[in-house]
Amino acid sequence: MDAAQKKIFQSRIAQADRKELLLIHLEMLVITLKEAEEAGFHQHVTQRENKIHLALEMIKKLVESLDFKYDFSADLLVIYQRFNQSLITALRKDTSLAEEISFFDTLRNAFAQVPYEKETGLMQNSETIYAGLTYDKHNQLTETVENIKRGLQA
Amino acid sequence: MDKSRREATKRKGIIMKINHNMPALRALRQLNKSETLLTDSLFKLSSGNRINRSSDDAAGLAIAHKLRLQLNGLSQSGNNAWDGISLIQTGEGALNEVHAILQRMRELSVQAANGTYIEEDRANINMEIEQLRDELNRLSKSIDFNGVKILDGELDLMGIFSDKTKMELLSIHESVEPNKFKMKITEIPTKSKISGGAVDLTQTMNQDGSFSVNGVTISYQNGDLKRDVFAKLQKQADFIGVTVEMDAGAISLTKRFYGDKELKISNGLAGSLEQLGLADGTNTGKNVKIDLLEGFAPGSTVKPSGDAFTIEGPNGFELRLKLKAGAALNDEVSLELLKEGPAMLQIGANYGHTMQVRIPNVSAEGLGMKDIFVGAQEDALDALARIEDAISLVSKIRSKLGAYQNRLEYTVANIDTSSLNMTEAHSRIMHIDMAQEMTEYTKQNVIQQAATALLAQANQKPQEILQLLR
Repeated sequence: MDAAQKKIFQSRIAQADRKELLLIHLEMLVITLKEAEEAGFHQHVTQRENKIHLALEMIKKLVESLDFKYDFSADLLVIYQRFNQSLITALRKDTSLAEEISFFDTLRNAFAQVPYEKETGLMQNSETIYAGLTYDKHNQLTETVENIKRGLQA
Repeated sequence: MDKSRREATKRKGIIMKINHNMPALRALRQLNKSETLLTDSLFKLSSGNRINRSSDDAAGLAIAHKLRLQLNGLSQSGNNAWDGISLIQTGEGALNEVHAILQRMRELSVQAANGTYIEEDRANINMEIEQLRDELNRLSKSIDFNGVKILDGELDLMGIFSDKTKMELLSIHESVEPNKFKMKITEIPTKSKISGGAVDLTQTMNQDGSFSVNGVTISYQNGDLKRDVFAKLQKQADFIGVTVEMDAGAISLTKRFYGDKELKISNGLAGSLEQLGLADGTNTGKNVKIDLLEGFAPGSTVKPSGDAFTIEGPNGFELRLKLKAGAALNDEVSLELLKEGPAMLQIGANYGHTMQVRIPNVSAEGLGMKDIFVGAQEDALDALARIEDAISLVSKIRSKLGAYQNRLEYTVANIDTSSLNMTEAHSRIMHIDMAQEMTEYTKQNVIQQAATALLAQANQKPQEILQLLR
């Protein structure tokens, strides 16, 4: 992820509700895995390892955010553990990460399909972003128009 | 709403339609569709099979079924090949013993062929050779594999004679193929025989003297009973393979075996033989003579040996036969060699994938050792040649068994490789990719459970996610 991508993610996180946050989390995980795969392809061993470690941390966060009141959490936990194991194996061997990428991408798409009523963002006091423009107390987008002829003769 | 219904509504008042709730029906349809996909995915995960019924993939199921049949066939053919190896190893182990026996017989023949031994010594050596020959016969008849005798010719081509009272088949070389043969007996074999005139064995010899039979000297003294001299003659002659018996009041000497081995009796002292009704003389028996009529390749020859004969031809063709008591001069005898007999191993999954294993008769008769005798020096030399031929034959048989075993081992390796590849192909068609199916299952589960799935997972804190953006 380059700096620009990170900035975009930061902005999105600031505005995200629960569902959007989950989708962002999974999206970040998919991007990280793809970067690890790319590094492996170009024989950048250290970079690949770092990316896999980051992906493992992201999966750990996914596990930590499971609510075990719901039975479905147990199913997800089993799957996360399985992919956790496969990523650890990938650290030792130069295996492909295609399976992992495919799974988390599919999971993201599945959650994206779930109908959900938009809530307010989880972060308090964050900037509100409107179509890429930002309003705050120091930065108001105003336009001063002078010498307007309104078409009427006084 | 059409006019008649509007009119009806006006008459009845407001009607609450509760029969069709389209949004709910649409949602239910999606739910059912999702439920079906989820059930299908769960079925595949629990069975491990991508194809559980023909509707999943009809063509794939058909191919997988054929592969499964082939796999089962290969598995069994692998077992068959191993059984074949076991059969060959059993035979090879027994032939190792046969080799050891023949080696010992050879040693004894070499010993008996030495001129420093007397007939009594050779008689003792001959006794051991006879015991070894009996053991050879016992081995060939007793060694079996799962009830099949493997060394007595049961695993060789079956031969049927037009008249089985005239001839018998001793052994067939491996190069001989099933065919029909015809032969004519042009000489009946005889044993060398000398008969004397009438003699009264109750009388005594009237002078000291001696005579010899094939070089073996029998001495007597004046006053010895003729019966005792006759007994001495019998014993000494027996050592050298000559049977002495009384035949209608006259002494007759007969060589034990058929063939053109000379029988010679001569006086040591003039008049000695005459006292027993015998006289100086020589007789030579005859070997069998056979004319080859049909079925034999040009250039085939007959090598007689007493009442047995070996037909040799090009490309290693060799048949050993023997005349029986019912044979008569000018008899024509047919022999049909059938393909039945050898073990046919099914070493492949399909029809025609077979291998034939032929093991000839290695009994004493099959090896030409039935009438082996070392009582006389000349016979010992003859026996030596025959034993060496037998050793050479057994070596060839063992080499052939070794070649069979090598071939079967390669077959087993090939079957294992084919099975592996076929199992892989079968798995590719039939079995699910667990990771892929788990992904699909999870996706369907999330869609199915929707809000619950979201509640179960969507509990992240923004700060934690931001930390991951380092």
